[in-house]
Amino acid sequence: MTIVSARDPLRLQSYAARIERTREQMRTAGIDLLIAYGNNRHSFIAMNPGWWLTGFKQVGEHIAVLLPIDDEPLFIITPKWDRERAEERSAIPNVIACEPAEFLDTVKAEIAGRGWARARTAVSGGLQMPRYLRESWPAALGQEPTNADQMMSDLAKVRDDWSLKCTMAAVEIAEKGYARLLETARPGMMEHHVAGELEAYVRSLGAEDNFQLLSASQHNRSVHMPTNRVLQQGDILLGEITPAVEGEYIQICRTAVFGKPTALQQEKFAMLDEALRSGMAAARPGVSTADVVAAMNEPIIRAGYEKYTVPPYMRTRGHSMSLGSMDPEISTFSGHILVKGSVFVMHPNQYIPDTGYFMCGEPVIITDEGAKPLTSRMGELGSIL
Amino acid sequence: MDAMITVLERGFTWWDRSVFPRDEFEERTRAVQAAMRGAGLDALVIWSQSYHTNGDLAFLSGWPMGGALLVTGDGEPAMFSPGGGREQYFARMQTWVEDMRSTPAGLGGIIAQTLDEKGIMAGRVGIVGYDQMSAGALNDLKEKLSGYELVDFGTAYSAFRAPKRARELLAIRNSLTIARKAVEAGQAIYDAGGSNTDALVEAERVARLEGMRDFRGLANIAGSQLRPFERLGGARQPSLLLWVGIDCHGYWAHASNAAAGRPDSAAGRALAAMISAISHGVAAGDVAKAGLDALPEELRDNALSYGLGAAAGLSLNEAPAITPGNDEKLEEGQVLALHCCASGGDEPSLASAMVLVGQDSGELVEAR
Repeated sequence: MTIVSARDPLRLQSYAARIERTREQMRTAGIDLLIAYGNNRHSFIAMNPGWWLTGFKQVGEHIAVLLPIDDEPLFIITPKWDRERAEERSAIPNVIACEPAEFLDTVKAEIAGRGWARARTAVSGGLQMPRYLRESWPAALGQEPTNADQMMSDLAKVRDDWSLKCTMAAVEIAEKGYARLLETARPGMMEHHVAGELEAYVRSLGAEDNFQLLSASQHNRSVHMPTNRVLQQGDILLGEITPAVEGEYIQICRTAVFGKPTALQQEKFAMLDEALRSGMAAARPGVSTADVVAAMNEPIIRAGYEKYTVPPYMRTRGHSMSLGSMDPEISTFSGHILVKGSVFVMHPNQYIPDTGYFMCGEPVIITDEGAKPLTSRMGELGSIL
Repeated sequence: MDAMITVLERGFTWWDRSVFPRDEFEERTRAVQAAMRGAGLDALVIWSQSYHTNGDLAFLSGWPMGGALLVTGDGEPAMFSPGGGREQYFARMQTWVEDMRSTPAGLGGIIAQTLDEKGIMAGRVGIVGYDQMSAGALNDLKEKLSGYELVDFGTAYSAFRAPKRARELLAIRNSLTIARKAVEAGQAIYDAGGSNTDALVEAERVARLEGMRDFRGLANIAGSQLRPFERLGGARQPSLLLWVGIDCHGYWAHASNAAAGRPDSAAGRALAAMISAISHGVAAGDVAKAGLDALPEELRDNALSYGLGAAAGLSLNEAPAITPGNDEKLEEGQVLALHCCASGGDEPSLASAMVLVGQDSGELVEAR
């Protein structure tokens, strides 16, 4: 599926709805003006509220949507030379471009000029907002703004139609990418050559970005960035493939053996597959992520691997992929209660002493019946012959 | 040059000891320790945000991880990362630092504990990376190190690592080699009838195969202004302007396609003027002025918006920025990543170069 038009009706409807949903939450929270900030490190590990409200992935250091409760929103971007692209891509048509050094003054001037200076203001920029900027808001706004990060994160968790369309496009690319990986990876190649070809392939399918960890060894301790290690028969190839379409990332985690998997490898992968399915079955609206973790860990603990269900043998059992952010993680400690319509990657990826690190992860959507995979086919222990 | 930053560094990652032997980092550490003594510091904390690491920590560790590095008056540094430590097995292969610790809690406590272990119970602790810290991380550090005097050492540290060491220059040349191959590959695709988007995609592919760790790319995909890759499509343009930034082993270089910046083009003339203005002690703003003066007036604002470059090394945006009015002086041994994008007008052009600041002139850095 190729997504090409910024004026796609579904896109425009979804962004208009995001504005209205945000305003509803602003009313509830007593916010008159929201500053939704974004920086150019768009990723799935930290939020970009400016992108979520506009659909514009910036190259400049700063963007901000100024969203009043009852007036037309304004989109401020940097740098000036990127204005044409911003006007083309942004779902908010009123675009003002300035240089990064002028950003704060421009925001301040626009707020003053539009009579919004006395509005009760909130800022959302997540972890990537530079500290100097975060500390500048009170003086620039003449008030201590409230933090709207959680509000924005909660809003973005429940996917709208445009988000799901882009997500499904990314899922399709991820699956095709993995299929291509199985076709092209061969003993004798270096890890980073395999990774480079996969990256180029997903780009050729339309993914504007892709986070991937790709590594292989006879007994992996974990997955990592590609090195110059030469792939060998019997190596276990680990791939975390995370393409993005229109800023929506999705992740699959896969494991494949160069050669025929051993019975032991099949047994241990089946254990992780059972863990994943157990976690997915438990992941219903209203259930805590801690309970999902418990469900996911149960088959692993039952098999005698409790010690390996915590770091450093694993990192996390999954995480959100919304708003370009991992909030919340599927962890014992996140305290999150699952919401219908939210999208996660769930992955009981971990080290197993008998076989090494295995990866087994699916993008899922939370439904009343549990987490449903978004892939056409859930991961299996692959074989590269 | 501003460019969309890819999600995380994820290309070829390996500590190449042929470029950076362990003794290189030992020597850097000794030099930093000497600077610390000169500043009366008992310890130095170098902070790097997990979400976007910078060169400060990597300069001493060789590994651009998020977290903090603790340097004391003698001995080897200790490195701290947040999280559960799954990544440490791999990280230990990428760095010479042997004392590597992780903690799921804030780093302030483990830094204080390590200072205590090293017998430094009080004194002056320099901090590099204040701007990298979140408010929470800063408060945690201040609280846990409340028995110490915290001193901002960021400016001094930046100045210390401004002139590039011989092996840093080697790494930059390696990155430049990849950057040149990437833009040549993109040009070849364009010359064969491909679109400007195709050229940008091919440049990234080649850069990855050649061993880059991180990539930035822009091309005139639609119209005369540069754009990042966002999706397939885009009509072939009358000419190709292609710029790439390449990180190999943490060191950055950039390049643009030669056809876009011929010496007689507006960008080519501005670049030549900037290079001619370079020597030790010259203000960065004067280099910018030389470039702008060489451009037709109607192209200046747009070129300035793209920027004219900055010092480069473990980042493409080290100080000083080549921008009008910047009084910061160039220093012998610095490497500058200069560019000019004259994308307005009838004949858009783009030119770039890596230049080593010499005592009396600038010298082009060559690919290996």
